[in-house]
Amino acid sequence: MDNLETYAKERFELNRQKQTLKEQQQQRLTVTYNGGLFRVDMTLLNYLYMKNANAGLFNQSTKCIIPDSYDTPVEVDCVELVQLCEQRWNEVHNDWYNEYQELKTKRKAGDVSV
Amino acid sequence: MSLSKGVVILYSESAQLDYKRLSDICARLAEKHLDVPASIIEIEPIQRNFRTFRYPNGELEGTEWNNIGRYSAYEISPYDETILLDCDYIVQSDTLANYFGSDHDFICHNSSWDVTGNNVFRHDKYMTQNWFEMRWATVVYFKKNEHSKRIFDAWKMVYENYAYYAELFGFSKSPFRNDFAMSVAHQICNGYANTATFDYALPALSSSDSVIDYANGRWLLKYEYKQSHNVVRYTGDLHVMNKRSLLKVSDQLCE
Repeated sequence: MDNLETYAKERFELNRQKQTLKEQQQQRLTVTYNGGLFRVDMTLLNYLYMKNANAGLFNQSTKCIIPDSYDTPVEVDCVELVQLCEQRWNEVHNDWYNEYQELKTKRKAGDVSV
Repeated sequence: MSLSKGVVILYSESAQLDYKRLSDICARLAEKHLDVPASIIEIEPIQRNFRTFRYPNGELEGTEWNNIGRYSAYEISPYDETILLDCDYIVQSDTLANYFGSDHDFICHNSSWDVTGNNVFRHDKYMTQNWFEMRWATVVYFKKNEHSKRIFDAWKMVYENYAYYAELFGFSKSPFRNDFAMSVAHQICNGYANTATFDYALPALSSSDSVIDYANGRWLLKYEYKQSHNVVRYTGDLHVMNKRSLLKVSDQLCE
């Protein structure tokens, strides 16, 4: 009886797990470039894509100065930085997706393992 | 000339917990993930400090807590750029390596994140009732330069005059807390501005939760919520306050 009661009390909450997955992956979304630390998010990626598109279409420079996560201005080459950011973005989001796919059907504590 | 980089772990012997073992594990994993050497340095306890922990079964334990000499890390560290770690902080990613070579002099965490989602650290955002922001001394990155030395000197000064600063800022003067002493020093030397902190919260597991299992970089953690015991899986760096449960998975961590 004790065991059954313990079993019933041990739960796996998918919503909490989703939140934990999100936080754990987001802390990995940082890259260093030219002494600056950049948080890779959609805003930064969009800016870099735009700069690179403009460089191709209107013959603009791919070099620019943007503030990093600590508001330090850093000179960057948008082609180099976008490669770094995309690589990190893909690594993190692939891991996030795979972990979520594995965990989304679990409902009991006993189903979850390392 | 390139600057030397490394991790420093300071510990003191305790009769109740094998801090040496924890330090060895912490160093080994930091070397593996950050690709820099790690130095474990034993410090003589300057004074005995005690702290009470509540474990998952509700048991309370008064534990000897001898990490007072952390302000001496600046003098002790053999590296130009150092990441100072608590021995219960387990590195599982290269996130901290990003800070080597950055423009920062001294960085620490200004918030802690409960990986179970229970948000038990919400009361640690401020260390006084008048909203004096807290810093965490668990993970500190510093360069050897004048600004960092000033912070470490101030940290020591706060330790030596702890009762005075406790009275001044309005926190408890006993037991001594490194986090508080470093918070005061960090705030004073940075003009009380909320700057020079890591851009993510310190991932942590409170002493009332425990590690059930660990394999291939994945933690299985047990936490209590409304009298039920739940589990959550987590991947990444983790500050495990329940050191007993960390020691139970020490063999898996070393594999």
